[in-house]
Amino acid sequence: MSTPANQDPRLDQAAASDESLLAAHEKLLGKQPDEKARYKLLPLNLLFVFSGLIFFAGTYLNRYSGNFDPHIFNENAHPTTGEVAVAKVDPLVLGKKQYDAICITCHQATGMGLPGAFPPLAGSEWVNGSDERLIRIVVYGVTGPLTVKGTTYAAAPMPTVGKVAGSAYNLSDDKVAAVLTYIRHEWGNNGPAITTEQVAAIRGKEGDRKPYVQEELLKLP
Amino acid sequence: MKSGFFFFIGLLVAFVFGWGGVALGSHKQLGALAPFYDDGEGSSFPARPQGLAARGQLVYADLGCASCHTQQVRRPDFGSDKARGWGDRQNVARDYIYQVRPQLGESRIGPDLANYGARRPAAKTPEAERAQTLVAYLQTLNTTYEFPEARPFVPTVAAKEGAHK
Repeated sequence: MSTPANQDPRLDQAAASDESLLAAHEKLLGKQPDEKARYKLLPLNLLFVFSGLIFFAGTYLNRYSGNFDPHIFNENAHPTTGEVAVAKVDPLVLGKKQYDAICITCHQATGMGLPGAFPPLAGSEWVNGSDERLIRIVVYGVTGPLTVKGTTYAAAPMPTVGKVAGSAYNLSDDKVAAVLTYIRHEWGNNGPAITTEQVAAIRGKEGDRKPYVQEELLKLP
Repeated sequence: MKSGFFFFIGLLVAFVFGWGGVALGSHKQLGALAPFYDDGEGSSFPARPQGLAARGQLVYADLGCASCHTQQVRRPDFGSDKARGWGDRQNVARDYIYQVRPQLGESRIGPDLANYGARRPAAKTPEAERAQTLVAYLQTLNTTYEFPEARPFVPTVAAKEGAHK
């Protein structure tokens, strides 16, 4: 029984003063509202303004974004308002290109061929004659001897050029039509142009077959 | 800071989200662009710049030509690029797929060069090696080949008169 260790008088005092305790109780009992929070609500008209802006943006993107497609470069090119201009290929230009790439080695640039080996195209009755025969000669090729302008050529077969089995060139129908139109307009030849549809019709009718011989060709109209 | 870990995660998500939009989104849109094989010409476009022309592009970049020359032509109904003879068709994204640093250009103090190779007159060039490579590069600047998406758009008569569909 000596002097106590903690002599601090504050330890005996209450944690809250009497006045503050009374005020707190009064608040709870009287249900006084807390201090107002210091923020304002969003004005309602701003909600409508931004909804309107988002609507405009969505409509604009729908009409002018081109679906974010990497191949669309004209925002005014709506599918219903017009069409993309496709350049028409001149069959004579395309035909000349094919001729220079494939046919020129045998039939020569002058269209005169090589006497004894390759028949001429200039003035040839096969070129200026029936469409049916001409298309088949080029698409399916010819084996065996062929008489052109009185001379018989048997040295080399005409290769299969069209898009059929056994062809080394596989020229599409429009390229065959173009090259035939070209040879019909060149070197003094003056024949009607051959269309892609004609070539496609004959290719569809004959399907895959081996190259023609002269007798078969002469049987055609 | 309550948790460094969550802060880092949040930072990472913000960065990945932004990168995804800019890099991944662009790649998704334009990454699959492939050269166009033109049946009529028999080759695919655009062609890769080769040899001297590829070095010429480095010279072009080094000299800062892009500050005054652009390499992008607008479509005919949007601006006067075609009227100035700078190109018959607009440049599209596929024109640049083989260029590591497309020299699109900053301003048009000088003429547009996208189609320069097609209209450049043959002239003597300086003997310097850099000049020769630069000229070789300029000669390859050519957009005369055709792309399906670059063809001009022709509004139909009905649309011009204001009819609907």
